[in-house]
Amino acid sequence: MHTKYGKADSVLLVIVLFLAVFGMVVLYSMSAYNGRVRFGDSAYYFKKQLLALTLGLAAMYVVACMDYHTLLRFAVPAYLLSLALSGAVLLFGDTYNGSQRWLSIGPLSFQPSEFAKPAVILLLAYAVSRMDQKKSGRMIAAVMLMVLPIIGLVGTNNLSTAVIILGIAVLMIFISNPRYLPFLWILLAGTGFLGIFLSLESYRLERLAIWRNPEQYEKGFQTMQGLYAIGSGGLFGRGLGNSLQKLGFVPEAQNDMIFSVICEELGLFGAALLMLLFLLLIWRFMVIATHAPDLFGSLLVAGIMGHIAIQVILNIAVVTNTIPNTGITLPFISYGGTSVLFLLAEMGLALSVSRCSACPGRQ
Amino acid sequence: MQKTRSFHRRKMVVIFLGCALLLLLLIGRLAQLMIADSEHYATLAKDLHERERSIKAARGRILDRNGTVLADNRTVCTVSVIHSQIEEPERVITVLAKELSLSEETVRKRVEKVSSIERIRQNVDKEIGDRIRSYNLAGVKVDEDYRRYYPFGSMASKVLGFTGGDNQGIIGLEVEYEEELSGTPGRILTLTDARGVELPDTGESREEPVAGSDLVTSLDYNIQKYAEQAAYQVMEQKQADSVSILIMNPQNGEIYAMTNVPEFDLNDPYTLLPEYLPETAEGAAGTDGENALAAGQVVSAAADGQGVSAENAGAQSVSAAAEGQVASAADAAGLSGEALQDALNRMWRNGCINDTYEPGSTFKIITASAGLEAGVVSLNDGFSCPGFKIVEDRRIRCHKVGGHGAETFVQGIQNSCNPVFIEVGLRLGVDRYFAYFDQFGLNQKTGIDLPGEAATIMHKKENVGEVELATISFGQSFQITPVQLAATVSSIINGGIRVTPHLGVRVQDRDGTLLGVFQHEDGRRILSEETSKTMRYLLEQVVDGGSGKNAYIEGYRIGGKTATSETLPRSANKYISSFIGFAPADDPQVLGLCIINNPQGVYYGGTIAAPVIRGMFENILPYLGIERA
Repeated sequence: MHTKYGKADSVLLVIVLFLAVFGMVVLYSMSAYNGRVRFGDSAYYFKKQLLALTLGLAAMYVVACMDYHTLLRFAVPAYLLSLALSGAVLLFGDTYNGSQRWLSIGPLSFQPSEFAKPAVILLLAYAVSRMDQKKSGRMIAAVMLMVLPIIGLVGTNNLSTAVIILGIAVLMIFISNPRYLPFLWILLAGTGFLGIFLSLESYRLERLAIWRNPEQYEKGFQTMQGLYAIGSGGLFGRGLGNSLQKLGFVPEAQNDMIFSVICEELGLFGAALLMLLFLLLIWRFMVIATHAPDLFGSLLVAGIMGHIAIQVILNIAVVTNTIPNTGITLPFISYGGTSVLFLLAEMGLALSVSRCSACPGRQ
Repeated sequence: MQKTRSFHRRKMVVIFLGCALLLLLLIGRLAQLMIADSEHYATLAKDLHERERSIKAARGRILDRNGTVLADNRTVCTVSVIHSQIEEPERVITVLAKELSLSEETVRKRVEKVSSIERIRQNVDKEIGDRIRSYNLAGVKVDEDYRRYYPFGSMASKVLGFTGGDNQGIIGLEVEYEEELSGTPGRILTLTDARGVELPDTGESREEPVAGSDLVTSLDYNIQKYAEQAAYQVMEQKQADSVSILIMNPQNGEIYAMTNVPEFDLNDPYTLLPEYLPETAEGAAGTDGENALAAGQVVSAAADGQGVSAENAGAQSVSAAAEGQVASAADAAGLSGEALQDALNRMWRNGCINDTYEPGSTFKIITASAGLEAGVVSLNDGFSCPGFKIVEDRRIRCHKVGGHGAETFVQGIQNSCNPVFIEVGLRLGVDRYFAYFDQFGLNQKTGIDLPGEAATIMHKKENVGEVELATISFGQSFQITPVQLAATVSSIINGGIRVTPHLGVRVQDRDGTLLGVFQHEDGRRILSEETSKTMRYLLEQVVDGGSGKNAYIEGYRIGGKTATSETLPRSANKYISSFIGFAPADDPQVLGLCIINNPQGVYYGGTIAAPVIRGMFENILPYLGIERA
């Protein structure tokens, strides 16, 4: 390994740091009420998130400093570890809010499904970059076979994350294959599968009905509260900290629905700026990915790009009731320690690749 | 390690562009929600965040003509609970049940109901409210508001009326002038979080209530008080069922006093007086006792409904009354809820306007006026009364069995002689009689500013033959309200201008600043000045030397007419005695009507009703500044 390293992508770094700080400010604003009501401490959520953020920034620094090729040999073990952890959570996991998604290690709790995302990205980047690019059909099948176990494990108690992992996998295969047509079929097949999946159980259809007319269903409560928040925002919002909807009306305002309260406080203007910031982030990933010295690096960053893009788009689509409700967090903003830790680690990875893209690649 | 190929790069760009497209679409969706639909969602959200508590407006007072307060407000409390703020539900239930004398079950149901604010009890005494406040129970709110209070208890109860739980008028002036009296409630809007806890720093927007206007009435506390005393006195003396007295100004229609004893306690309107306990029902219809035997058949025909336009039998059902209160009072009285409600409605009825009766001989005033106006009779016309008059095949008797013999028209009215008035009625004929009946305003309601005025019950013209016309001429076989009689006679003797009897004079604010004056004047001429003057003379003759001599007061010129009617069914031998009088006879300033229902012993109007009005006038005339001649 003789890669000559240049400087990391400073635009990416600035955006990430800005999002991290902005995320903390917004999180404090959103969670202060719930923290005070439930734990008697306005900063309860903020403190926990700050700890995760600190760890995450450290991880980002470490990962950014190292040569990303070091990870090649960890690809398979990391994936196996994520399988093991995802399996363990089914057996020993803690349950919060009705979902068994957390593993406790001492005072810290950890969400294995968040770890599964970078593990899958790493595995696929590793595997695809080693495959014979000409046998595309077999490659697709092989990749799908590889990720199915983790999708199955994660999907048993966290369908949304499984969908994200599947999405990441599909995007990475899409990139690694020169053809377009098969993906159209995959898209169609996926849509058909989704249709069958939804119609199998009436409660899933109900979810569709709620999506169409959230006002008429009791379960549309969360959606309606989100829309109330968004609608109250107007052009420039109530101002940071002045949301009323976060005062218990939007359930768990610091989680999935945080974007709706951002709309309420910062208005269309602030919300659109945030979305453009995410687009800028995705754009930097694309730039880094296309300039990576090798396919492994390219696919790593492309996977990260897919991860961020899918979560941002799905989250905002859910909050605006553009698609039916499903629990997906907004990267860097929503509350969740494991999520922010691994997101920052992924950012470190992208930075590491960017350092390399500035210099002539090696074979 | 493989190199990144160009198709890899192309696909990454495709993905980026796809993401960019989706994000832009979402920004568009957001713009739609936040600009186009913003108002919709913001309004819904506002409803969600604001809790509204209304502040009752102080109801306007009701004053008499001299400013004496007849209906006032007293501070009371409304106790409510805010479900989400209750910390010790069991203690709250125990304390509220104890202090408010409610069953634990009732309180529990309301305390445990998940609502933003639940009213437990209204109209709680201020002391109890203060005591509940001193427990400092979280989630219990004690709001002060107003409750109607009537300083004189039962005075003019059926005229003033009372209010319900929400301070809305239920009967009487309270209902008629609801709009003026009620004011506009204010609101306290507070922002709350999802648990209903009020937010400390957001402040509250407060719309102050606008107090209702004070209503100044034409009632005179002193005259009303005296009228009630006189009514109670004669009711007791004669062991009558009820007594109504109406005192008004015949020049402008202002009512000085209106009483129907027994009156009920306005501060406790749901307690049934023993006098109103249900007994065998009987018609309020009456006939002239002086002619009782004669007219029996005719009246029962009318009462059967033949040719009677019962457009409004005077029923004023007060179903608005709070049913809960009725139910609890029903237990106490041992009556079914419905029976009690009926009894209460009977107790609350204002007999002067809600009930009709056969006026009897007092109605001869109308027949005389019509005859004089039409020129079919003059004062010195001679009549002869053999004790009866044959009309068609019917022999209609005079109250004086032996007959009055030869008499002039003046003597005829002094004697209240039936054959004389039958003759006048027949001279007029059905068409002209009905034309005058209509011209005098007897077919319409008087338009008095009280709810539930009963309409006249009169034969249809096409069904009236000579016999019916004969009975109408002396006030039988049809029914009118006492206030209709008083208003019509007022109009006949005041120079011939129809007056609208009324109580509401003006509205003013609490400081007495005038806000508006009610216009009640009808102003229509119903009789020539000349005939009016003649009528004043004639009616003065009735008091000076006729059947109304018991109303005579030394030094005053009094006019009047007596009546004694027998109620339906005639077989019950129940009578209504009445007298209508006015003074001074040459320039009437005050008119009084006294009606005694079912007196025992002597029942002649001239004997028992006329002295009541004399007693009233002896006191009122000096009080109104009318000097003895």
